[in-house]
Order: sequence, then structure tokens, then C-alpha cells
Amino acid sequence: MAPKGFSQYNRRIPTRRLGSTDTGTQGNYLNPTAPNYIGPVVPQVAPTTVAPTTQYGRTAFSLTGTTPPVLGGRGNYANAPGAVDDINAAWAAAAAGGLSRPGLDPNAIAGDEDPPGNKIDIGGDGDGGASARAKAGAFAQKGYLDSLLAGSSGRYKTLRDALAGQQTSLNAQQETLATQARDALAARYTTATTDTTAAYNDLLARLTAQPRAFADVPAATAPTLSEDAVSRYAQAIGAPTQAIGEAAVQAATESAGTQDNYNRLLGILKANEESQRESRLAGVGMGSTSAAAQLLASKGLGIDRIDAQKQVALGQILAAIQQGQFGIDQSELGYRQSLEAALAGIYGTGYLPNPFSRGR
Amino acid sequence: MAYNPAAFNRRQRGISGSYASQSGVNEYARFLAQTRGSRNLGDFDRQVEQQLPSIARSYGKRGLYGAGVKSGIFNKALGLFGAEATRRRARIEEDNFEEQRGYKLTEKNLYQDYLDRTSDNDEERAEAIATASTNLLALQ
Repeated sequence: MAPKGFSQYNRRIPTRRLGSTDTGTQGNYLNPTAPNYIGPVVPQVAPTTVAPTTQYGRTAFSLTGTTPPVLGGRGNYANAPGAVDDINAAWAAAAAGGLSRPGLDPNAIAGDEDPPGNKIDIGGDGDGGASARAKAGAFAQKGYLDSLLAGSSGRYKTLRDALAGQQTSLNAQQETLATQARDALAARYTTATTDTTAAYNDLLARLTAQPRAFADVPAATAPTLSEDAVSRYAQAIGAPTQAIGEAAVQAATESAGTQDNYNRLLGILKANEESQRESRLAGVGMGSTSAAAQLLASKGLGIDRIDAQKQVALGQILAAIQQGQFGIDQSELGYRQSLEAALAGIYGTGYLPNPFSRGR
Repeated sequence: MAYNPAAFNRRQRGISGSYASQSGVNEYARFLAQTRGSRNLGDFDRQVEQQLPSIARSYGKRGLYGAGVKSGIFNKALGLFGAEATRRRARIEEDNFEEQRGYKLTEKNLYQDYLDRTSDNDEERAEAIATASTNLLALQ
């Protein structure tokens, strides 16, 4: 537990710019007595007033341990045996006199009206123990601050671990999202491929089964000249039919030319139709292949896009994590600096040995 | 853009309707032509049958044809008439045949046009499905 009056938070971070010697407006970090001191608060123990022990109207001080000899007194005390000004002589006189408590005159203590001499040397620092307590407090503060310094890595390790955990979780989340996107893409690819293949298969079936317009057109044949009225009459009256027959042959010849042209036209139309049909069938194959290739390319593009998005997301996560790590580093550095500044402040009180002094 | 079968079905109905209409008109014209051709042929036959007795009578007046008389001149004249009539009748028949073939060709052309447009529509339908599938796949 931190000493009362000190807290790592009740001081300000020095805002003085690096290298600046201005301590008047920016805060003094080293001199605890300066009015603008901003270093750690060193508990100042107020001087305690030691209540005098009054006995027989005299003022005495608490004495512990071996009672020192009495030095040069006045009045009756000055006539006390062995009363000398020299401490060594006093001790010697006390011993020669057979006093059990050399240097202390029970009479002087117990009721002599004259005050003792002001050369009494008593234990302590003369400020009621305030300095000792301040020193002890300084050591305690130092120990506490040292322990905080030593534990700072552990304290920030928790944050770093949490950040690393977040990074792992976010990366896994991105991986999951990418996997889901890939699965969705694969499902769409399957659907698209199935639909496209079905469409082209249907088209192929239709074109294959499609009737041909000119396939069943009969070729023109020579018209069968009916037994016309002339022939019938000529035969009835016994007229010769040779000329009629020749005319019929001539007419059939002329007709044959027309039929031949017509049949040639039919052949061209049939060939054209068949060519168009073949072209369409080939187009179906090419269209189907092209569509499949396009779907495959689109799928590849989609995968690339998903991967790119994942990489961007991972990069953003990494940047954020690095920023967080930098913040933690900054915070830890500031924390350690504040602890070190507090330590420096403690060293500045003079209660602790200067760790940077050579040979000490 | 998504595949919309209604548009292709609508277009197909238009193609079928157009073909049915044009084909019907053509068939009716062919029927009228056939009727006209048959009538022309019948008219020609009647004319020939009406002309033959008058030819015989004209040669008979000159003693070239009659009972027990068959002159070579009459036979030749009759042969020339018959040959000419035969040629004309053959041409009428040929015209009728050609006219009928023309209508049939028109019908076949209309039918082929119908099949072509139907195939075009089917091809575009398949392409539209492929395009819609590609667009669907491209959606992210």
C-alpha cells in the first residue's frame, strides 16, 4: 500500500519540452520545495513538539540507555562531586566516586532548582524524529516505486495479451467471413453453371428437333399432260395425233427447264437452310463454351475480390492492433517515466543515497 | 440484369402470330390462284371443244372433210390446231403449277422465317440466361 499522501496519480506529467530549461512555467520536476514543483509528493512529517517532562519545576528530556555524565552545571549542581565541563573527566570522576549512575546527580534531577546545563547531548536529531520518519518514508516510497517499476511489464502484458487475443479473434472472423463468401460464391457458380448449361442444352434440343422448312418440299416433276380435248376429239374423228404429240413433247421440254430451275432453287434453299442450321448448332456449342468460360472467369474474379477484401481487412486489423500496441507502449513508457520521475524526486530529497554517485 | 422469360415468351407469341397471319393470307391466295387456274384450264378446254366442230364444218364446205372424206389438208390443219392447243394448254397448266409452287415457296419461306426468328429468340433466351447467371455470379 502506498504511503499516505503519495499517489502515482497525484502528480502531473511534466509538459516541459525536451531540452528546455524553463522550469518556471512548465513545472519543476526536481525541486520539491519549488512553488511549481510537479514531482511526486514526498510526505512531509510535521515537527512534533515533545511535551516536557516537568518534575520539581525543571525541564528534563527523556533519556534512554546509559545515562551520560552531567556536564558543567550551575548553583548547587555546580558543586556536585565530579561536576566538570569535560565529558571524559566527568566519566572519570563519576567512576572514581563510586556512583552507580555516573554523571547523573539524583539531586539535580530530583529537585534542584537550578536547570541543568544546556550542553546535555541527547539521542535523536533534534527535530522530534521527523527526519527519521521522512527518511523511512522515502525508503518505503522507493521500495514501492521499485516494485511498481518491476511489475509494470506484467501489468501491461495483460493489455498486450488482450490485444493479441483481439487480433487473433478478428483475424479468425475475417477468415470465417472470407470462407462464407467463398462458399456463397461457389453456390452461385453452381447455380449459374446449371442454369446456363440447361439453357444451352434446351436450345440444342430445340434446334436439333426443329423441322426444316424446305425439307418436305417436293421437287417439281414434269406435268402429266392430261388427255385434253383436242386429243380426244382427234382420236374420235380419226385425225392424226403426231403433231399433237410433238407439241406435247415440246411443251414438256419447256416445262422441264422450268422444273429444273425450280428444283435448283429448291436445292439452294435447302442447302441454305441446312447451313444455317449447322451454323446455329455450332453457335450453341460456342455459346455454351463461352458462357462456361465466362462463368469460370467471373468465379475467379470473385475469389480474387474476396481475397483482396480479406487482405485489406487483415491489414486494417493489423494497423489497428499496431496502433493499440503503440498506445500501450506509450502508456507503459509514460508510466515508467512517471515512476522514475517520482524516484528521482525521492532521490532529490536527500534521504536516499544517490545511486549515480561514483564510489558511494 | 436478371433473366425475364416473359419478354421472350411475348416475343415468341409475336413471331408465331405473325407467321400464322402471313401464312394464312398466303394460303388463301394460293387457294384463289388454284381455283383461278382450274377455271382457266376448263375455259380453254371448252373453247377448244367449241372450235373443233367449226373447223370441221369449214373444211367440209370445201369438200375436204365429210362422210367418207378425209383429206390430207384437213388432217394437217387438224394436227396444227391440236398442236397449238396442246402447247397453250400445257402453258396454262405450267403457269398454274408455277403459281402454286410460288405460293408453296412463299409458305416455306414464311415458315423458315418463323423457324429462324424462333431460333433467334431461343438463342437470345439462352444467352440472356447465361448473362443473368454471370451477373448473378458477379454479385458480391
